[in-house]
Parts: sequence; structure tokens; C-alpha cells
Amino acid sequence: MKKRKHTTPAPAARPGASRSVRTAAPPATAGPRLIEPAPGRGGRLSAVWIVVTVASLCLGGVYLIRSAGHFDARVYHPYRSVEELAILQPKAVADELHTVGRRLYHTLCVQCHQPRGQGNPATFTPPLAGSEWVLAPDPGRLIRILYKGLYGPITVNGQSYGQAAMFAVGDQLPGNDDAKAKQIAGVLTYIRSAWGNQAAPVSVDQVNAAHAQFKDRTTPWTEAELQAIPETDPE
Amino acid sequence: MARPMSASATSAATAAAGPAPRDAAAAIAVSCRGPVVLLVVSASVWLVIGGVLGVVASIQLHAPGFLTHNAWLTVGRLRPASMNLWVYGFATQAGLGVLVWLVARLGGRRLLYPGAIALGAVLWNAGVTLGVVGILAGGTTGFEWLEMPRDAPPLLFLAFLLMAIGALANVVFGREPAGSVPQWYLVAALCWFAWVYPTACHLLLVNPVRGVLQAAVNSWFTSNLLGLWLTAVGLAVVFDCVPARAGRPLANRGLAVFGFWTLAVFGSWNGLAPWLGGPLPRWMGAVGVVANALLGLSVAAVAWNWHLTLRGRYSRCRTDWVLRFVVSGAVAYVLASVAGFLLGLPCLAAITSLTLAPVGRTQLALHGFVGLTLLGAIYDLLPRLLDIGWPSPRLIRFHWLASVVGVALVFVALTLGGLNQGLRLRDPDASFPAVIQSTVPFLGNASLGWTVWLAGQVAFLGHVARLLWRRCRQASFIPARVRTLNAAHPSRNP
Repeated sequence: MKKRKHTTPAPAARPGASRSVRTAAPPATAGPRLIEPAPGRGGRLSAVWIVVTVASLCLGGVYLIRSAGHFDARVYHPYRSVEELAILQPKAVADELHTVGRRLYHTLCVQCHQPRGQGNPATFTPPLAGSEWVLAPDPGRLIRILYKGLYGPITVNGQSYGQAAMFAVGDQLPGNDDAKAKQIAGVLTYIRSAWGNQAAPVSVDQVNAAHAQFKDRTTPWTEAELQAIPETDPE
Repeated sequence: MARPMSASATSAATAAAGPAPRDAAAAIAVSCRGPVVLLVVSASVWLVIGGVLGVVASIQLHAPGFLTHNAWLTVGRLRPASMNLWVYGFATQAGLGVLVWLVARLGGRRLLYPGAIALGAVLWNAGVTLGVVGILAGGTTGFEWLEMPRDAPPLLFLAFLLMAIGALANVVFGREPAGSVPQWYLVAALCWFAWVYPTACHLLLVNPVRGVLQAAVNSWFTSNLLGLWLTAVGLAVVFDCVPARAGRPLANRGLAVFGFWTLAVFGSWNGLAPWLGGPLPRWMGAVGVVANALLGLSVAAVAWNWHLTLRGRYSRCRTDWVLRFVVSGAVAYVLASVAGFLLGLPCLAAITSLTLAPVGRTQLALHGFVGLTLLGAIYDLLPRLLDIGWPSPRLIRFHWLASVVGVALVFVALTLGGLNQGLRLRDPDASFPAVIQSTVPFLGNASLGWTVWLAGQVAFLGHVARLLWRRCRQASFIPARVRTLNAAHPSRNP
């Protein structure tokens, strides 16, 4: 069979080739002749090729291990691995606070303020959804209410809630000051983003900074006192 | 000199080798005449038409007002039309013609199913015409090398199946035992086209994948159509021609096995190398980079084998025009592969991807390697099939010179232009229009190259026409009546 391989082209090659060569280029040497292959000579693949192939495959493998992102479809150039991407992801603090706050709201606050933050006029509970107090740019007043409670009439969205009374939730929360601040920031972050509300999240630092100003207070706030706190106060 | 055939010359050849192989070879050649001449001559026509469109499109890149009064003549239609004519009209069709002839000859048996193959050729040309007119009319699909409107691909694939099954039957039922090096490549080439083309059509046209995956599939398709199907046919021609014309057997069969399987294993993965850094998951580009580099093994093995076979006999290229075309094509294969290797390295791809450089590399592979080897095979087979010599050696010489100089000019201009463009684009202060403006001189040189190249192809088509005209006069040969071809030469039918 191997012998055939080399003889096959030759007979067919002869007549036409000699003719085409005759007109196009007339050398005597150009015409293909019947070729007998030298059996057993030069038919083996040199080991060098195998060695080079194996070496290339190893290099290719190293490249793939280093640069193929572990074949994860989420990894794009110029990043190299999911781990690298995870480090580079911004820490979603607001998301964490939101989770804490939602859990807390639906255990404590929901009894008066209702599951959708709509409040309850029968118990003089003002709404949170759409409330100008909740949506204020600076959460200073909210932080104060949450820590120390509220007493007396309050007007929300033009409606007066005459005998509103909220106890000092913040001071009674479990844990140390840091844990309390985190829970309060969470609840505020949650109520400012739930039910169609779209106000900025509240950070633990904001809560701590405001709390420092009224730490030793023992009585609930009144509306008039809160009104004196500027809404755009950086604290 | 130009006398086509003489009894004395043929009888001398017959006497030298004994009558049996000569008559058998002649009978095989005549049996291929109908389908192969049809394929090869229509391919030559499409080559020149594609060349004219391509030259106009190339000129429009640096002279935007040239011939743009009509929507049919705008660059957005001319360029895809010319590329499709080159890929499907010329390269694939001439490749199939050469393939049919090679399988019949290597099988040592008169061509089986010439009618089915000729029917396939007619359908193929109908498909190409439909598709290219569709592109020129504005019905492009927008996918590179699949721009033909959706009606054309089914017709093309049906035509391909007719020809491919006919060709495979000739391999399977050949008298000579199958297993020669060109036969590996030919059978693999048919399988690769039958895999790549319908897959891409399905994933892009019939049931399109979504988003950037379309670009990935498209890139895979173009690289495989060129790198597997057309490359395999070109390699088969070189592996058939070089030992026969060098007058000695292929130097190393084991090396040929190695070259074939490395192409088969790594050849289809490298289409995504240019997408490293693109909007695709990182591993896709990385796999492409590795496959592209490993493909160098195949190219090195194949080229080294050719060199060992030809060593000391390169001088035959001076007088043997078929060998000269094929060896030029082989050199272009090595050059295009080295360019592909370099352009696929991540550090260089970062500069050159999405510039002119990959275009130049593709044109070198298409017109340098595939084009020159197929043209060499056509120079070899047409005289045998028609039993008549080429009328003018001068035209062959001009054709070779113009093709080589033209393709070299295009390749050098586009590669340098692409490097220049890529380096300038990295400068954040450079304005984009200024960068584009800086490519104009390079595009102008490319247009010059295309024009020189086209002149050669026009000479070639004229030469083919002269050959056919002589044949008609000589033996009442009527090309249109394909079925009577065998009857026209009763002496060739044993």
C-alpha cells in the first residue's frame, strides 16, 4: 500500500504533464517519472517532533492554567479568576444593612407601622411610606426618634396624629452601642428604600455621629424639638 | 511550439512507459472532463469578477467618491460580494474541481457519478449567482463570509453534498487502495466543510445564537472555512504535486501523518484568538491563542517535509510552471501561518486586532496559498483533461508574476498599515479620524497590488478561453454539451 501511494500519481501525471510542459516549459527534467519509493527509508517520525509537541502542549497547558480564568464564563479579560473579581467587587454595605433592617422592621416596627409602612390612624401611628420625615435628605431627626422615642402630636403629610407615642426603641435594642447603631442604620436604610421610598441609605457612621449629640437624653422628643434640628444638618 | 498535440510526442511518451498506464491515465482524465472543466472554468470566471469588484472596493477605501453614484456599487456591498465570489465562486469551486480530479486519479479509476458532480457544479454556480446578486442588491445578512441572503446557503449546501458524495464514492470505490497523503487531506476537507458550513449557517442564519456569541461563531466559521476546508485542499495539491514534480517520493510519511493530525486537532480552535480582550469569556480567547500557537507544529512539519522532498531540486521551479505555482503557494502557506502565529500572540494581538493586519494575513492565505496552489493544479489538469497544451508560456509567466507581486504588495501594505494603525490607536491623544487618515497611503498600495493581481487573473482567464477555443476548433468540442464530452474522444474510452 505504501508502495502504491507513490506510484499512483506518477502514471497519471505523465501524459498531460509532458504535454503541458512541452508548450509551457520544455525541459527534459521537468516531466515526472515513475517513482519507486525507497522502502523503510525516512518514513519514521523523528523523536524530536514528539518531544517538541509534548513540550508545546505543556507550555500551552501552563498558559491555560494561568490565563483561561479556570474556564469560568464569568471571567473576562483583563481579569484572571473569579477570586480576583470577588476581591475587586465593591462591598455592598447598604445591602447588608438593608437585610438587617428589613428583618428588624418586620419583628418590631411592623406592629404599629404595618407591613407596608402605611401607619394606622386608629393607634395614631403615622405612615412611613411617602412620609416627608422619612424621606428627609438628612436622617438626623429619624435617628433621634428611633433612639429616644417620640411623644405628642406630630404632623405627617399634612395630617395630624394627635396622641402619637413611640417608645425609645434604640435604647432598648439588644447589644452594645455598635450593635445598636448598626440595627438603627439598617432599619432606617430599609424604611427609606421600601414601599416606593427612594432616599439615600443611612450609614452606621451617620448614626453614631448623631447619637453622640443626644446620648444622655432620657425623655422622648417632641415635634417642636425635632423641627429645631435642621434637615440638611450634616450631623 | 504552440501546436497542441502531435502523434509523435504522445507515442514517444507511450513507448517510454508502456501503453497500459498511459491509456488508463488518459481515460481517467477524460472521464473527469465534464464536471471538472465546468467547475474549474466557472471558478476562473468568478475569480476575475470577484477581482474587479474587489479592486473597486479597495479603491473606494481611500477614494470614497469613486463610483458611488449607485447603491449597487458602494463599498458595503462590493467588498462582501467580492469576498464571497473569491471564497465560494473561486476557491471552494476550483477546490472541488481539483479535488474531484485528484480523487479519480488517485483512485486509479474512471470518475464515478460524473453526472451528479456536474449537476452539483451547476447548482453551486446558481447558488453563488443568487447569493452575490442578493448581496449587491442589498440583501446581505451582515455575517462575514455568510453575507449571502438566506436563500443561497441551502442551495450551496445541496450542491456541495452532491459533489462531496460523488467525490467520496470515488475514494471508497477506487481501484488503487486509498491512503495516500493527498487523499487524507481531501477526505478530511470534505468532512470539514460539511461540518463547518451548515453549523455556522444554523447558528447564525436559521436559529441565531444571541449577542456577542454571534461574533464568536462567525469568527470560528471564517477561520475554519479558510484554515480547514480551503487549507486542506491546498495542502492536498501540494502533497500531490511536490513529490511527482520533484521526481522523488515524499521524504517522510511519518512526518506527514504528524502534520495532518496536528492540523486536525488544533486547526479548528484558533478562530477566537483575536477575541482575547474582547467581550467574550476569557477562556475562549485563551484556548484560541494556545491552538494558534500549537498549529505552528503542523505547519513546521508539513513545510519541512516539502523541503526535504524538494531539496536540491528547487531549480525545477524555473522551468516547471505548475511546480512554480505550487511552490509559491507553499511558501505563501508558511508565510501566512507565521503571520497568523504572530498576530495570534496576545502581546501583538493587542495592537493588531481590529486593524488592517489580519485582513492582509487572510488575503495572503486565500490568494497566496489557496489561490496559487489551485491555479497551479488547474495549469496541470486542464491540458490533461482537454488533451491540449497551453497556447502561451508567456501568459503563464505573466500570470505568475502578477499574482505573486500583487498578493505580496497587498500583504505587505495591509500588514504595515495595520501595525501603523494599531500603534497609533494606542495613543490616547490621537484623534480617531487622524488615525484613519494615516491608513490611506497603505490602502493605496493595497489597491495597486490588487490591480496588478487582477491583471494576472484577467490574463489567466483569457488564456483559459484561448485554450477552450482551440479545443473547440480542434475536435468540435462544445463545452456546453457536457454529456457528449466523453463521446467526443472515443479513442480515450477503453
